[in-house]
Amino acid sequence: MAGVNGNKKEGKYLKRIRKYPNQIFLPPEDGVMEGFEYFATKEYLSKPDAVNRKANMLKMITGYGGRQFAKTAKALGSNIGSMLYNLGKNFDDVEDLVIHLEEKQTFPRQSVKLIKGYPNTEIWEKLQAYAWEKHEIQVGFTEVTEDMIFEGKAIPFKYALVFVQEMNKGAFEEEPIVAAGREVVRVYNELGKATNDIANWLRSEYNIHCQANHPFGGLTDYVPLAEKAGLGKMGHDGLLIVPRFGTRHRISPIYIQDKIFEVTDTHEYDWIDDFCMSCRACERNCPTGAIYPEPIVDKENAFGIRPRARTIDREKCFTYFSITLGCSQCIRTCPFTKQPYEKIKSGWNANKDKEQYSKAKENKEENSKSVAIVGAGASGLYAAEALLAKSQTEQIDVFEKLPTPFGLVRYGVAPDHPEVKSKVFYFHDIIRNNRINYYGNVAIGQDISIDTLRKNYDAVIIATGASKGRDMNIPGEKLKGSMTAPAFVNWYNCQPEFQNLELPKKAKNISVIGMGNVSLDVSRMILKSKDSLELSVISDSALKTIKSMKTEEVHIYGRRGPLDAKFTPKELIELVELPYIEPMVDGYDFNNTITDIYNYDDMDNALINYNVFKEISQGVYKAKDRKAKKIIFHFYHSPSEITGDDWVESIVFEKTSVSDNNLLGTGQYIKKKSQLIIRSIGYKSDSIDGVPAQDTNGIISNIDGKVCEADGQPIDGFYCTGWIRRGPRGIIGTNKTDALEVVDNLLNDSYKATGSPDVIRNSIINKAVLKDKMNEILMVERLNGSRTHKRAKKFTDVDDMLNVNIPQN
Amino acid sequence: MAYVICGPCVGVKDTKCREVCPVSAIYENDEKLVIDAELCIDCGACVQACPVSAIYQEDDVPTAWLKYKTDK
Repeated sequence: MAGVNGNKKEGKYLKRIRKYPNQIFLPPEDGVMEGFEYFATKEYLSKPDAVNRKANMLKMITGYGGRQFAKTAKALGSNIGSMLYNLGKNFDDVEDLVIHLEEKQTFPRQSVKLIKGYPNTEIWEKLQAYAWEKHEIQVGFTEVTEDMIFEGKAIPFKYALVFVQEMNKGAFEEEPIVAAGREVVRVYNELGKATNDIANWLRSEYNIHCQANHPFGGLTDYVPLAEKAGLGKMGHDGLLIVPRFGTRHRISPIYIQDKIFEVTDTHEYDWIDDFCMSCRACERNCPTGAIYPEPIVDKENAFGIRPRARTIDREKCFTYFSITLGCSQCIRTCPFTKQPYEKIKSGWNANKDKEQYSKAKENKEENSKSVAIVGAGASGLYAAEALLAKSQTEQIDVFEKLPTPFGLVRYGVAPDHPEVKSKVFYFHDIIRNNRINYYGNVAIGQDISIDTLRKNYDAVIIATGASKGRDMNIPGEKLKGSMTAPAFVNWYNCQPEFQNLELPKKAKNISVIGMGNVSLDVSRMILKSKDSLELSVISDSALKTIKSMKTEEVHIYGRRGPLDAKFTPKELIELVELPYIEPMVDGYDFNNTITDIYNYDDMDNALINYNVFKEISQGVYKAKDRKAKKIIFHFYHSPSEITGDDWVESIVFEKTSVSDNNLLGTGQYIKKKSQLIIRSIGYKSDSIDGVPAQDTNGIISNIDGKVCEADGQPIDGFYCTGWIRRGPRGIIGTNKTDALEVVDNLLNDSYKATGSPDVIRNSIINKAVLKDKMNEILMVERLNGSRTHKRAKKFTDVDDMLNVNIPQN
Repeated sequence: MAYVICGPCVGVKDTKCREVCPVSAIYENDEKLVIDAELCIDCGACVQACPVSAIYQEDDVPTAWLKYKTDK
């Protein structure tokens, strides 16, 4: 596409008219460079992830298969000639005006009849009818403001007719996604032709002095122009939301010499601003993470002039757009594309009423306690959220050992579970609140002692969770190739503290000990085909290592029977339904009727799991692919020893049985070959200096979240929440219930600190990663992600995080 | 297309989804919260806010929870 806008005719035209600066309209000194023009600059093209790189060109051709590329190339090929012609025609058609300018140092005057005839209602109506009937184009009229004119450009006239033309809805609903790109090209060309046609109609019918401009890009920034002309409102993705077409449309203007029509400016669509911020579907769905919740620092790297446009990283967007032959995901997922405007508006209005209602009822306690929260994972941030909701305190300080927040949501959740992973958005919004201070890279217990913290805050909440795996305490457990599941999970999720994990070069057979959801996550990560993992955020080196292990079988072992498996049925079914995985069961005869049923915590789920296992034994989930990798669930196997010299070689199990809910050994042993053994038998918490009593798994001795002395006496102003309070059970949301209870207790606590939070804040000012810096780290991860077309490429090293710099180019 | 609230919501009924829904499409029944498919504008703001990860797009509802698609 580069080169199109270096369009020679536009260049010549500008050179000619810019000789008469008093007769034309010029951009402000800090004018923004036109998008496509920027992407043709050396500055962009020399970047390591620019679209012209070989790897990117290759992806463009092969990404959707040769056939799709050929189709799109054909669509582009059959339109590009016409697009270039019509672009040039914008300027050819005003030759007489330019000659007049050169000869008389001024443009010819518009006829007095037209000027006096304002608002020329009859012409306006005929124009509307002509544009709609002939081209299905909607029209607005406005005055162009100086800031809309691109750097280095100029316009001859300061008023503009603005047109929008719809792109077919179907192209944004159906697969393949690339069809959308072809529709984009088609409408660029159609609207380009139509704009010239309408301009010439205005000239021949009414002798109106005007200059058309092509939708593919031109002299002004079309989105704010169309917004000003009252055609719609700029949405969170920087595109114009038009009531009739949503974001599925293209825009073009015709510049007009005088105010011959009434301007169509309106504030009718201003509500969309607030709506967009409450929706943000485009932001969540942008495959390359190019849409940000707030304006990005780097103004030059944004589309256009409005603050909202600055929330879009145009390099990331354009590169990905080109490689995917017209991405368009933000258009696809925008509610305005999918739903009628009136439906959204009436829903929003109903909602506004509700919001006012709930605000009136809100009864925040007048409480200005200073609170330190230790740990910025789910439990800590839910506690922060509860404090925000239930108190008015503006002194909520969140401390985190790592520079980045989100704990296990960032480093524990499987990257292929977006519905859970998306909670990062949610937790990030909590931290964004002005009443919350963030101090990353500060380890409580090391950098600052718990005692010092307690002296300076009215309340301290420990929310450090549990990130270490439990041990089996059997011989050979410390051999290479034997590790905990949390270590493995943290490793592939890029947690900096786990990056030196050593894995075997080859691992044909992998044993996973324990039957919980983490076992399923680990197995799925190992067995899932490379394609489905590549776009999710997993460390590149982990992906490479996992692939090269060439695993054929993953064995999951449980000490008890199929009813005792702690899997969430949804997760179990998800794994065994994968088409390239052959699930099998071992150690239990599903032909027998169930005899040993005890009181399980969750009987419903236990029975669903049981039936899935039974179906597996009957071959229901048999893989079609003969080369399918196997996953085998072994019941009644208790690990007793791991053997090997340096690296693990095999693992020995004792067969077990259950009687009266007691686990019994049978004295029968079985040895299995295995090159990698991952024990997934639960998490434990680190012990923390300054916490009086923790049990063997690190759980803090507490009463209703209030931390206790070793003798069981609760301590005022000292709390714990989340996994370190109640043990590593439950899902992310369980921490919310926990947090609400703790915060209730905390707000009723009368303990008052003798010192002040400022003592702490000042002492860590040089070390701490504050909110802005943390946002910068997350932003750079997203920018780095563009290279591999991931939403983000996470740092695996703390020093790299601390040294980030947003490229200020 | 709309979003569907599935099994994990039963007995939980955290109302954060209702708070973040831009168009008030979420209501409560005896068992759990429910999305009114007629009002849902398919934005997905509720998905991230749900503490128990109960919300799925209609087409992605896991096999185990298909029955919730017809919830009233």
